[in-house]
Amino acid sequence: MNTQQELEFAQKISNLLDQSTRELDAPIAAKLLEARKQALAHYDEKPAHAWVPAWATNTLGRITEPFSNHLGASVGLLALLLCLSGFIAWQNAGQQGSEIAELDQALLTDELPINAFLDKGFESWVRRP
Amino acid sequence: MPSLHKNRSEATELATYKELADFLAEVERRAYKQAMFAVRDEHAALDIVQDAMMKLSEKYSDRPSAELPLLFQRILQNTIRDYYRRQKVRSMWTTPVSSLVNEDAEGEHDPLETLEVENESAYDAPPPVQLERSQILATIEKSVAKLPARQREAFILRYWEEMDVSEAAQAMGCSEGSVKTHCSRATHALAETLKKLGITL
Repeated sequence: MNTQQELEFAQKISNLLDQSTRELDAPIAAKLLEARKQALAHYDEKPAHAWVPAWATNTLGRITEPFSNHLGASVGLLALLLCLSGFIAWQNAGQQGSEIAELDQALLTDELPINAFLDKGFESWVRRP
Repeated sequence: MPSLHKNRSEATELATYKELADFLAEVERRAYKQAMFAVRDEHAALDIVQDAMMKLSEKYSDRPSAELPLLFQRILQNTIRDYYRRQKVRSMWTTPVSSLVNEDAEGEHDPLETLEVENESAYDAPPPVQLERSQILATIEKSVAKLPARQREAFILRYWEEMDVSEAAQAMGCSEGSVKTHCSRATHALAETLKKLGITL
């Protein structure tokens, strides 16, 4: 079978399929009509929505939707964020304090070489990184 | 938003309600047959067509009407594939039992086995003479349904839906070369099946 014969044969088959499609059982044709009516009832004229990729709207929607309608939830979220930032600030303040405490401890326990106190550059030695 | 609606009504190439309705009316029967070839179950095929039409109408009503055939074919094929997937999951549970019970009942059915010879004088005539037109149609549909899924898809899109090779490739999500190969194999397979059954077109 060459390409031309293939094409002719395929067209014959298609014509026969068309014939049998035209002679579809009435009950099925009726059900298809009903299905079409239902589908068209869902015709949606909202172009702005559809331009966004479906997954993006879905994902964003899924994340934001639970909060958008609940004022309480968003207030709670805000409070949680405030608590967290407060805790972080407190942690940082504590860390600075502990550095000074370490220095005091070294001075008090005489772990510093004695010459350090005579050194004119002691101040800068203390402040070395 | 009023401005959006204005833009939409100005952009005449977008599918209107009427265009969508006309399009669905034109394709619904072929879509049903296509689903039938794939799933061989009347109810499932109707459900698939309804789902596909619903998705097109709900989500893609903003697309130009020229894109509708391709979109619809993609949706239809995805819906059929979803059906297969669900069947596969279901059959994981039911196969061990049903394969024992239904194997014989649903075995291969050859239409020629059920054909009756009307009178003795026609006995020597080739089978096509005895075949009525409706039986030929049924046999052809059956042969199409028996094709491997990808070959059938390619054949239907190229020759029945009259898409060109690149459109069919887009709809099937494969290369143009594969579409040609599938089409050619499908055509040869169909020709051979019909030849075996003694049907000449």
